[in-house]
Amino acid sequence: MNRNSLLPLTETTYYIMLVLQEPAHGYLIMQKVEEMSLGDVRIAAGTLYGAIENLLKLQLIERMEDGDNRRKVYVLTEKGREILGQDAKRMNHMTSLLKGSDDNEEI
Amino acid sequence: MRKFKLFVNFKKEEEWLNVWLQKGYELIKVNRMGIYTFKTTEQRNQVIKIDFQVLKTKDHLENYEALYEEFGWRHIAGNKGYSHHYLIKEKDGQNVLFSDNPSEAALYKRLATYYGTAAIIPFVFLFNHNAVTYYFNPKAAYLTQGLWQMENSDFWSAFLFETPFAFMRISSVWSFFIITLIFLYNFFKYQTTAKKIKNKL
Repeated sequence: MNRNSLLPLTETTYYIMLVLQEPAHGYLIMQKVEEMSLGDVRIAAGTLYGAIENLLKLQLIERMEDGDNRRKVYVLTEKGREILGQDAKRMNHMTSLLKGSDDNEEI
Repeated sequence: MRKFKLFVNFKKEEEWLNVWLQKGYELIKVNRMGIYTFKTTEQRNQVIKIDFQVLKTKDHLENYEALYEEFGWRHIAGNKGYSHHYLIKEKDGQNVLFSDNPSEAALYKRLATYYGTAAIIPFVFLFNHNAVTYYFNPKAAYLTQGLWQMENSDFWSAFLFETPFAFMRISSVWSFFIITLIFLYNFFKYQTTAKKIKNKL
């Protein structure tokens, strides 16, 4: 099977999409990603701007209408959910192959 | 305070602006001719960074500024259509614009594309009729009739009189040559940097 050319996602993109399963604005995305990654991934403003522009262009996320607020709120599209799911499956498979990992410990 | 300075490398420009910032001079305006305008500031705990992003519409610019503002960055100079953006903020744990390799590589890629495209303009001027003449025959930049047949004092006074004008003609065509070289140099340098960052494991 030919896999989608958007895969694999970068670590940053994966976390951003993970967060955007629920609507969120820029700074909130950064905070949630930091939390989820246990402090490992702290997204800087330029990286987030580029990622959002890219994801919008690929129609993996969309902007939500949010009245007159200057802060823009984004959320995953159907296509985005699908890609995120595929990448999670890919990584699941890879981690399950690792010797000594939790999945492989049952004898 | 105003300063005139030309930079080829944006990282050097960034360093220079930060040195002034530490001394209490905060950038408020830049124009394309290399004139930097500063105001004095009491704050010593700020950092300035340069981003490169072509923002095509007012909407893009607003979006860009709004997102950076959420992270505490003020957009102090650079406007729609002008692709160098100067951002300043109070130092905290995160004083960079890019936090991963792919996005930093993308910055250098944008710069390479910009300079690669920009090099076409002076390159075209390199080969216009006057330019080609002056490269190979600088004498042609002297337009006085019969100058090269004149003798002694006639020659010297006419020659010296016209030299500043000839110099301007010649240097203007050579400047296209130099600008093309600088743009191409930037193109290759940024292209290489982008590749280097991308190939990091």
